Amino acid sequence: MNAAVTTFDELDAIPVEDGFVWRPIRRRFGIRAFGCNAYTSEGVGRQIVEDHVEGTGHEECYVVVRGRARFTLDGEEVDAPAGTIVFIRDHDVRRGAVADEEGTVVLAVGGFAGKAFEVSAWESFFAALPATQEERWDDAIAIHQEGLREHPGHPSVLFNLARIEARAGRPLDALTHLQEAVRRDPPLVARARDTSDFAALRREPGFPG
Amino acid sequence: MSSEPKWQVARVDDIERRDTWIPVREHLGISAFGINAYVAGGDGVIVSEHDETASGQQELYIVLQGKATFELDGATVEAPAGTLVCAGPTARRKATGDATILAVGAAPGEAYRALDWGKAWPFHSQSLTAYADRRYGDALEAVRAGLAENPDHAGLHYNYACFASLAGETGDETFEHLRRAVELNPPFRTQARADDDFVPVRDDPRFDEALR
Repeated sequence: MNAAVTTFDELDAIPVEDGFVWRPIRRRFGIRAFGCNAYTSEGVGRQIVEDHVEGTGHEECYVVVRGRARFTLDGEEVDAPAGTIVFIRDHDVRRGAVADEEGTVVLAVGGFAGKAFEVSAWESFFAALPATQEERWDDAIAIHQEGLREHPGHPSVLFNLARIEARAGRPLDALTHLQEAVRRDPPLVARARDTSDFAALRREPGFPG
Repeated sequence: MSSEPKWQVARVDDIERRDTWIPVREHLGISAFGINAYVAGGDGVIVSEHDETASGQQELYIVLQGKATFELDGATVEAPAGTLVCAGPTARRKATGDATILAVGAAPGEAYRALDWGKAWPFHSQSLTAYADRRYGDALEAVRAGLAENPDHAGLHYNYACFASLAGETGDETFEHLRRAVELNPPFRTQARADDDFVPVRDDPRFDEALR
C-alpha cells in the first residue's frame, strides 16, 4: 500500500528542551515535499513551540489540532484554541507558544515559497536526542551521518556530530569534524570554546580558536 | 518591501466554505505548499476518490474533528480525530464520514505553484458538478462562462481542455487552451501527460505541441 496511517498519540515523543516535545511526522512517513511535525508539551504553561525565528527561511503554518495554545508572535500574544491556524509568512518573525491546556497538540508545516523543499538540517540533531541521552553513540553518530548525506558539509550537522564523537571518546573524529565545521562557518569557533562537550578536546593540537 | 502581513491567524470554522472545501491556503495566501480542509457533503464524501499520479504530490491528511473512514488502495481504515494518513502520488484514496479533514500537499523536488480560484470558483464548482455526472458538455459551458470573466485563469484553461477532450471537441481551440494553461502554470505540462482526461487526444500531434 502506497499509503500509511498513524495517530498523533502513536508518534515518537522526543523531549527537546523547555518542555516542548518533538513528534516527528515527516521522518515517520518519509515525506519529502514539505516539512511536517507535531509538538506537544510536558505540561500546561510549558513551551510547545520553541521560541525561535525560522532560520531555514520557511513559510510556516501552525495548526492547533487539540487543546489550546498561546502564541507569541514578535511580542504579540495570540490565543489559539483547537482549530486555529497561525500562518507565518516572514521567517524573521520571532515565534513561540506555550500549552494552555493539558493534551494540546500543535502541527507545524513548513516549506519554501518558490523553491523545492529540502529536509531541514536540524532534524538530525532532534532525531539523535534519545540516542545521545542514552549514550548510544553509534546510533547518534549514524543519525548525524545520515544528516550529512542529506546536507553534505553542513556546518551545524558537522558541529553536532563532533560533539557526540567527543563525548563518545573519539577525539580524532571529533577534531576532524569540528575543524571542518569551523572552516565552513568561522563563528562556530566561539561556540566550540563554550561547549562543555569539547572539554577534553581543548588541549589537543588543532582545536579551533 | 512586501505589503503582505508577516503573519495571519484564522480559525478553520471561520474560513469561507466553498461547498465541502475550506480553502485554507488561498485564504491565508500560503505559497510554499497546498493546505486545505474538507467537510462532508450530502453524500457523506469528504475526500473524493482520486490519486495524485498526475500532480506527483505527496499528501498528508489530518482528521481534525469527527470520525472518517478512509479507503486506501482498497483497504478500509477507520480514522477518528487525531489520525494522520499519508498518501503517495499513486495511492487511490477516498474519505467518507462526518469529520473535518485537513489536507497538506506538494510534489517532492518541485517548487509549489499555488492556483487561486477566487472569482472563478463559482464557475469551477459548477463545472466540477457536471464533470462528476459525466455531463462534459455542461462542464465545458461552465468553464467557458468562467473564462469570459477570468480570461487568464490557468485552471480554467486547463479544465477547458480536459472537458473538451472528454466531450469530443477536438478542434484547435481545445489545444490552444491547453497551451495557454501550461504557459500560465508550467506544472500543468507534467500533469497533462498523466491526466486520463486527455486519453482521447493524447495521440494527436497537437497535444504534444501544446505542451512544448
